[in-house]
Amino acid sequence: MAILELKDVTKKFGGLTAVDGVCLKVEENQICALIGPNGAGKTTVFNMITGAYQVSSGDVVFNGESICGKKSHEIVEWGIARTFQNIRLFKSATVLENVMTGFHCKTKTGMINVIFQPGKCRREEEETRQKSLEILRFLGLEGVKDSEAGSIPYGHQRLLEIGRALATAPKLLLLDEPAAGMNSQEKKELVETIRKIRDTYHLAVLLVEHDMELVMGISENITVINFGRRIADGSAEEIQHNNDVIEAYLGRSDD
Amino acid sequence: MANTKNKKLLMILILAAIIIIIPVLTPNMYIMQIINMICIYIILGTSINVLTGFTGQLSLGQAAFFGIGAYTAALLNTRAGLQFIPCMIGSVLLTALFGVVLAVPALKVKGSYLALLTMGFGEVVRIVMINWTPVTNGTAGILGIESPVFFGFAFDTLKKYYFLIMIFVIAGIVYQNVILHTRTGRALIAIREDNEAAELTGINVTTYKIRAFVLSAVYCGVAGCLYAMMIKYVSPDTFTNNVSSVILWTAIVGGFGTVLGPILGGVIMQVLPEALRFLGDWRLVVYGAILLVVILRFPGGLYPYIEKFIENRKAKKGAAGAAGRG
Repeated sequence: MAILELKDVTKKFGGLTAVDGVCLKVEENQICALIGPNGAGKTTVFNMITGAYQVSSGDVVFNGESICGKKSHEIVEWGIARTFQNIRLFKSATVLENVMTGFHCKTKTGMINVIFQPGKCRREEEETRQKSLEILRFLGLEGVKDSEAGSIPYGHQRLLEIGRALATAPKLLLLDEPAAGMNSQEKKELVETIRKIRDTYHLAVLLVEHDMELVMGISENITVINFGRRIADGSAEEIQHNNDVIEAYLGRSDD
Repeated sequence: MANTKNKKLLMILILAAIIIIIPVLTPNMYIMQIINMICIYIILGTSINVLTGFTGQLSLGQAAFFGIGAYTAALLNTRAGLQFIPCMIGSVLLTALFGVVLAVPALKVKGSYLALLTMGFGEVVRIVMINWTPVTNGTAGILGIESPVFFGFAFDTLKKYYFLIMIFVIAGIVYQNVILHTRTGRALIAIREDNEAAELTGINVTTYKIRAFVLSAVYCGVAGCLYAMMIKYVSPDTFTNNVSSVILWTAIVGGFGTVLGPILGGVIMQVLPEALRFLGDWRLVVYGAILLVVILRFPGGLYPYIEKFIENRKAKKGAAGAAGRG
């Protein structure tokens, strides 16, 4: 069953159609990629999935139910988490606190419980801490758990963002250019990490990425969009030999 | 483990001893009044710390909540003849309500616009205090508020009242510290750090901003009630924009976003103007200059610097000890 399905999704900003009737399917446990030249509308698609933008027409179906019109934080609760192209951590909080913040929608105690049920709060807090440490251990970030999130190396910050997203227990993880700014060694490790995340946490991954080697190496299904329209969809092999895709990226040959 | 627990217990005992000994050592009522005002400003500093320091929502209208708290207590006491506890509950409930009232428009703006909005709120409340004469008695204010009495024991002197305030100061600081290390506190900090990222991490930014406003307002409400029942008189000129800025400065000087910063700020902001009285007319000039130096020299407030200083000394001691052994 498809965990996420975009049905003819269109987004208009005034007179500009940023995304025009895009269809996209992500199966459970699948790693998919959404690619396209700069300005093709990839990030707009992400923003519609996460509820930051409302779709102008069409439907976004997650886990069999429409999530159009839902608020961003509700969509996170439903099971879609994302990372950002330009890292957006809670910089002055510690690494551990960043991940613990991700557990927000899976925990309950509020401002009043603290007074009347301190034991319950302490238990929940301890549980959150342990689960967060588990995620940090999984990502190899345990050594920097008490550092300020903004002070750790760039590659670690990217991983930490994934960690924070994992804390919300997503069924679908959206990665917005996860390899941006990484060297080739780090990229190789990232591919391994993404696969490991999929297998350990049993979730589907949809990523936007410009690094074709990474995309081709990891994706089980690739959707290509250009000027807001879907121009191709299929396996890495199919995409590499698709004339429309070659034209979109390299231009048409004149002879 | 046992060692750290013992140390903690020792610290608490020392702190308790200091708190109890302060009024005993205080020579006169003038200084006792200043100490009580410090305590009230610690609560007020904590109120803005929750809202601005942790949640990142700048407020220049805290005096309004302070005033609403004080007037509610004053009215419930003088008109309805209610005792301290029901007055306090009334102050808390009404300021909480006004916290929501201010939060609703505040959700739509940020930065300097939020500062203007909150400042406007402060002015509106003050003007209502002046002009709603049948209820607030206008500029004359409300006289004849009674001291709190518990089971025949009256908190009728400043020294006795000090202990009553202290209960709320301690409860307020402890609650702030506890809440900071729960999911609520993390949500507030997430909102300060990155509004959108917080929303996309599953935090309902709208409700948590409202909660921050309400919590902040309630702290002011408690301070207001304590103030009204200590001074036994409230009037509109106690709750001006000037007071809002002193509250803001209390948190800035102490250190925004730190749990103990407001204590430091409260002491400095109350003691400094009194200590400078010998300067006569030059008092406010010097006062302003000192504050400017403090924020230029210690951006982020004094508390983080003191913390760092202590840590460095500890580290040096540790290093020296290790070298000595080696």
